[in-house]
Amino acid sequence: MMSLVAGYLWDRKLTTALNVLLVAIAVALLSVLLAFSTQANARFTRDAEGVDLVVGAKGSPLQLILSSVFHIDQPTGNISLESIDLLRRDPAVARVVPLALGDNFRGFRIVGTESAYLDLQHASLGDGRLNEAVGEAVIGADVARETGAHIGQRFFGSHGLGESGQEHEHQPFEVVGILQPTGRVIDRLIVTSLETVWDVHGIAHDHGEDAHAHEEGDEHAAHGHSESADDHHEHDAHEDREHDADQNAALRPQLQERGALRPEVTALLVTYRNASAAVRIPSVINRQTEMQAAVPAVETARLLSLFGASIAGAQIFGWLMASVAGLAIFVALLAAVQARAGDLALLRVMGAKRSFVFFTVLAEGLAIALIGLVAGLLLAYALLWLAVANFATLSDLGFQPFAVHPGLGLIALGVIVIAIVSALAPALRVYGGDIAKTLGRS
Amino acid sequence: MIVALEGVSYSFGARPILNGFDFNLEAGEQKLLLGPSGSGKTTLIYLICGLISAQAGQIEVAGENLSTLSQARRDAVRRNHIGVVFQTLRLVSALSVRANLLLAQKLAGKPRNAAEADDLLQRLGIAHRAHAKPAALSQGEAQRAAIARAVIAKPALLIADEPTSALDDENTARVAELLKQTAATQGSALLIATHDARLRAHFPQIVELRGGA
Repeated sequence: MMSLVAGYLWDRKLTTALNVLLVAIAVALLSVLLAFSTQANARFTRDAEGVDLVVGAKGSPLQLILSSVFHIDQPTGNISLESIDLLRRDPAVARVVPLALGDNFRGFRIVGTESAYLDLQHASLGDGRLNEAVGEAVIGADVARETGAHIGQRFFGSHGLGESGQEHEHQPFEVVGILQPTGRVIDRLIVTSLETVWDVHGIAHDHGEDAHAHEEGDEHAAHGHSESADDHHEHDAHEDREHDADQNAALRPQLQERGALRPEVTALLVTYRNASAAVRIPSVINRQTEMQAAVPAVETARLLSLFGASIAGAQIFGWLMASVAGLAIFVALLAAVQARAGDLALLRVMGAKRSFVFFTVLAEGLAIALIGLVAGLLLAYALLWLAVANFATLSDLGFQPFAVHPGLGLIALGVIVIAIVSALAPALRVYGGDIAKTLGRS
Repeated sequence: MIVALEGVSYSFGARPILNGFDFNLEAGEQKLLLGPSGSGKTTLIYLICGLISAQAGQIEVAGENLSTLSQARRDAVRRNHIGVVFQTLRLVSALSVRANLLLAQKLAGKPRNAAEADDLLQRLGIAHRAHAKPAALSQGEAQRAAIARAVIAKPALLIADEPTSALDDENTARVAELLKQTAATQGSALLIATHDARLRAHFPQIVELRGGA
């Protein structure tokens, strides 16, 4: 039967190719949408796990979440170190993890933080050890794989969060540890101490200012230095805000002399001890401080609802295309069985059972759908690969172009059902056909 | 007896085609069923093949009484015992000549035997066209390929419907002899239904069909 089906498909090469193309485009569209929605959902949920609240500089709450939790946007600004102690003193707060952002190495963000951040990300060492001294860094699994960085390697961070920033040539980082893959954002981060980030930017700090860090068991050495609020540019890393390092160096002594340069952090990742904190703490921070508090769950849900509406619309379009492909298969098969009525009658004269000719037509529709399905999946993976290669946000999100999603099974099933329904009417027409009449016409 | 018809009647509406028709064909026998257009030759073939049912009388093929069989059983009789060559409908268009022969073997419930197919094509002089599609064959090649397709499974009965109506005298004689020889070689009885009187010379046993009887 398969050689017969292949023969019939080959006989109508152009029609077959067009039908396969229609199915493939529909499958590719649905698969790409599935990959985006599934991976974005999973990634956002996973990365925000354990973070009940993010505290940062005033601005867009979504931007604060994106930059501090998912590391895909620019930070809103910096906040004072006092904010850490303010939150840690609250009995309803279980954990506060400070983040200092602003630099990158080959596009991978350098995050000044405490060891608690690794716990929050469920990260464990794959090789080497954790960073202890100033200048030491631990890198995520993706960073190691994509940059080829190894234990003992030294590198210079670049200012800003994009790859084009100016290098901090005076303060190298040394890789002392490589993390095991987690499937979380930390895979694409370079983790160092807060003090290292301050030192890289020439911000003086002292032990007294770092007392909070030791309370959390952080073992990093504390250095005294400071940075003014006006120097948020150092951490914000907006390209348009970046300034010349030499100019900074010249200004720094004057600013420090005026007491304007003080160590700051970009955001605080807060975990509550109890549910009552969820009502009180964001409200207090937003009303009574110069900071803002953003809830990852709320902002992520808002983002996904905006994102989700577009995805849903496109998915409807995708299934509509799949239905059009089904209609095209129906029309093509109906025309084909009419054109080859004599052939099918001859098959029956040769002794073929009714079921044989019925399944021959059905198999033809299925074959178109299956070839289209495979072509569509290949097309989808190629498009996803191109998208990840060309859009930094997707690679920052750790998007996996070749991931296999369980939802693909549903798409495959849907396409097969559409093909069977489309081929059923022509197949039944053949099944119930009058051979003698057909032979008489032939 | 490979075919036995007794008192078979068939009509299209009020128009009688066959009226109490009797006919016998022994195993290995070769007969010419001669009659003008509209005399009921094709109807008779359809009845023997079990494609239509007689309205009266008995039809027995290879020992099976078609009148009492279901459509599926009649399909099985056709599949197992009969090969048919039509005037125009010769081969499955999507398959090569060789693939047509292999399909015929499979449909007859026999193992695919490519060597046997090639041997038959060789004997019929079209081995070089084994991989050609039907549309690429000449009239004569298609006719030979159709005969090969009909006899590859060694049916007990080979039926040819108007096999020579479009051919000149020389080719008519060639096809008639080919049918006779092939049927004999394959051990099949041969029934040729035609209005072509030129075939009289090739078949000593002739049944003339006029007015459905």
